[in-house]
Amino acid sequence: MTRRLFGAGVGEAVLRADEYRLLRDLVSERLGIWFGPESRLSLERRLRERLTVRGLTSYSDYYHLLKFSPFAAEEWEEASEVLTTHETYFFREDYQLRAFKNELLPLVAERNRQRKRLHIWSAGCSTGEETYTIAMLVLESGLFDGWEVRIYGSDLSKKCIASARRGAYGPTSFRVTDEAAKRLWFRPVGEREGDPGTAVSHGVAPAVRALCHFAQMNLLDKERTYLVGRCDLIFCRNVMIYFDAPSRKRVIEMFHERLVPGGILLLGHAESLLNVSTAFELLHLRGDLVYRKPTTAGTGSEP
Amino acid sequence: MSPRLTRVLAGLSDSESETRRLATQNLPELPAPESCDLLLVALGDPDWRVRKEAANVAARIEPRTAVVFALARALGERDDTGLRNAAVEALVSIGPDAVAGACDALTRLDADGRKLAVEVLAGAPTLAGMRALARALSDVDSNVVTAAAEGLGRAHLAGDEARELALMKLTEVLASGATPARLASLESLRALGDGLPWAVLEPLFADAWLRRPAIAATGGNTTPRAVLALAEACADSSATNSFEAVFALGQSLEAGWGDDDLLEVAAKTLRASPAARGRLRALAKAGNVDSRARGAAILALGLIRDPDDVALIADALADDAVADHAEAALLLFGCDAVEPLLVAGRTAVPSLRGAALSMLPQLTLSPTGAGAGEEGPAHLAAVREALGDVSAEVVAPALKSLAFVGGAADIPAVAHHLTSSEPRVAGAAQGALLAIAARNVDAARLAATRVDPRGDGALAATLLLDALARAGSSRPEDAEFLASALSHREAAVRRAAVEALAVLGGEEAALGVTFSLADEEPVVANAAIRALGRLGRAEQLAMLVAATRDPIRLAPLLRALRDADPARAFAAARPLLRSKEAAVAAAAVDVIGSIPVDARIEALMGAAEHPNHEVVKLALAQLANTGDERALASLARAIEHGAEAVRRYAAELLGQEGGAEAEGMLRARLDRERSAEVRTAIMAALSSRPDVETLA
Repeated sequence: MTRRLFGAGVGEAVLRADEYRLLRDLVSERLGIWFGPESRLSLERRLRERLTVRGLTSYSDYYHLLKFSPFAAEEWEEASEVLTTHETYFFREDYQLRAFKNELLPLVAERNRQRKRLHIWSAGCSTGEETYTIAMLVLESGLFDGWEVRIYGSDLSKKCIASARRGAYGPTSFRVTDEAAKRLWFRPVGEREGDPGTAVSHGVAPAVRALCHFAQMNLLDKERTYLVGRCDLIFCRNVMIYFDAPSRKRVIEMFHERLVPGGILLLGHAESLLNVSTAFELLHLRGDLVYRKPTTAGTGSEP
Repeated sequence: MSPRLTRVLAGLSDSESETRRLATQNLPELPAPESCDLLLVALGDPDWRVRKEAANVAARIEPRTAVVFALARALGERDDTGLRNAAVEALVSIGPDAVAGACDALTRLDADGRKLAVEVLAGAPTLAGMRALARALSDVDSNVVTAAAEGLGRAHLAGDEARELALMKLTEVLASGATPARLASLESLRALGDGLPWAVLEPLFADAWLRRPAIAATGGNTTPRAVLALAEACADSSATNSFEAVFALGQSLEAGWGDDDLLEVAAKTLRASPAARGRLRALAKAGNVDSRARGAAILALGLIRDPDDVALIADALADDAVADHAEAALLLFGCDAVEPLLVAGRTAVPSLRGAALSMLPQLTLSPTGAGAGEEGPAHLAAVREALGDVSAEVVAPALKSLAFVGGAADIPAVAHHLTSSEPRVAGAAQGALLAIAARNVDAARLAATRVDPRGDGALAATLLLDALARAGSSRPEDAEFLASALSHREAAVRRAAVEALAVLGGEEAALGVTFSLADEEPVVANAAIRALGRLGRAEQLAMLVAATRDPIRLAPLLRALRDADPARAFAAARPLLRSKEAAVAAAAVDVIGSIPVDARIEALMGAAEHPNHEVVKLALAQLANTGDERALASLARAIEHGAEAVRRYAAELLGQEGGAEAEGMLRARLDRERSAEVRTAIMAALSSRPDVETLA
């Protein structure tokens, strides 16, 4: 029955089983993203464009390019653009954001009241909606006026980071944002042709943007993630579902290392640390369940 | 007492759970018997994180036999549930070595302890363990019996003998056991992968408790009466049963795809049941997170062929997980789907619109679509209109469709997209132009006439000449045009000219192509290498292979030499297999694997011993592709390789090979493998079925 809907067009290469396995392992090793057998077609589709650009005639050629070529580093940048999923929007998974604002922020405000410092990392922030949402909630809480507040957003994709830095968004980013929040935190940008008064997009308000800092980063690259410094909270939602088990482990270990003692890790609703790590303890909130780095854990040194 | 032991002891006694957890990580470094004694302390810790950590490190503590029997004894600790559960986890992580301890526990513990021992035997599947589980089916405690029936569902991981034993025993329980044990047996029989005969399943449909698992177990069955029962069950008053029935029906439809009589059995029943159709529509909606059920519902809606469902099915075209099902369902509609698809596509998001456009040629060319002449212009107009869309997600599929259905009139519009900044659009335009030109040689010739080979229209003209050469319609002046285009300012034109010259052939063409080897753009230089291969320039390529110091250039050179002269390519590549430079050895493996001579097996077997793991994996992949029985010897060595990555890869290939010998190797390794990840890979391989594509 199985056919290839988005399969090769005229003259296009087809991903053979052996090529699939080699590329799958290579992508997993480098980016941590796992393309299981059900995603073989997806891997083929996503990489096809790169074969076209590079003038290659087979996926085997592409594998050799990624693995052995002096241009590999440059090509990995491009490959990671097409292999990552960028679907996100403002105020996503609101139950968790409520718990963050109503329960976690007061907790951190109390704990850090001497230092007056709040550092949050949105790891895998895609085009920045999550990072800005966090900043909006921090501002809305009113607990951190006069503090040193930094919200970091990182993503594997350079294009996503560029888009996050632009901070202008179209309608799909606002699918669950109510009008009041939209008026409060955004400014209309441009006007639709033939439809005066209708904005082409909405830009994030300067007060929110001022808190947010973006950088392109592979979560498996220790050297880069070290630059984030120590965080009070890390959001990594719906990112690790794309990772294989060893990469998941490495990333969680890195988060553990990057969090201050007592720091909080927030994962997506379908993600858990079961069989991944025992280094975090569960923190039961009224509206959510999050992971906390035990306060007695080794702190290491500040970067 | 050593300082280390003192530290660990102090850590495990600390009031902070985090300190105890960290101390637990050091247990494998302690000497026996303290390591084993303290493991039990950690497994009984009040904090789950400490217990979990202890279970994780258990497999690294020696001596194993002492650890296993200590853990097996812990299964009997009636008052400490945490310790007992953690001991189960630890024993499972130890794997086959834990079986003797669990079998021993099964003979002497209380019912709760025996149930835990059964869980260990199920988690570490071996023949001895499965025999013990089969005996446990006669246990006096019903919970132990049910757990044993569940555990036997993993018998396929312990070999054919274990599987046969499990099938026999579970079938007996299904016929006469208590309800919980029957339920477990049914699920296990399903997990063992042998479709149960309809005669066994049919009576279970009437049993309130067993109806749902019986429906699930019927999935994939292609007996007409089974398919009829599943179609009827789609309208079951229980939403759970109905869901299960849709999913199971989908499996049966996939298994029987192409059997029109069988499909009609389902179609007739579903058409007659508004309730079933309602359920199918609900499951086929985009919001359904279970893609397997969604795919099944889409297939079933395709059988019903109600034009009102086309938009719903078309929605699924944009979802990788169910796109194949949507395509198959739409093909059942044939030309009847064209109009609703066009209507749905007009308002859809770009990705969906593109997907709908890509379906149109198939629908009008499919058997049910054939003869629907009047549909042609409508869909062609829609495809042409889509070329003006702003989104690459629409334009690229439209171009791909035109490759199949476009005519001479489309040449200018398609050519316009050749220079798109979107690679997928430019690539699709190239493919479309070549295909259309091949069908319309006169129009192609006209469009390529009076074009400046170094001007703006040179790319389209070059591609058209390429197509004309492939169609045997080239003219003497074409070579001159293409030779001039080799100096075009755009790399895309130079590359296209190189490729066209390779089709044209001849000494002049070879001269031009040779100079392009020096092109500064890798896409042009690589095209020139490939072209030399197609032009049969073996001598020249052999010299280049010998002279190049660039390992990346070596791969295309060797492949081109293979195209020109396979024997010479083999001779040139073979010594390179021993190169310490992984890129060189990998290039050689790649080429040797694709030259069908007997000596390649021996050469690849040698490459499978290369010090670089990636080269080993490449060699194994090529060996597996040959289908030669000697490949097994290399896979046998690879499954024992020192690197986990190689063992995992070898396990996957052995799983694809199938056959008793490959299975034996996997099982033998499973018994000794200590890496949890490799064990997972081996178990997945044992459960997998050979991939026809790989074996072919």
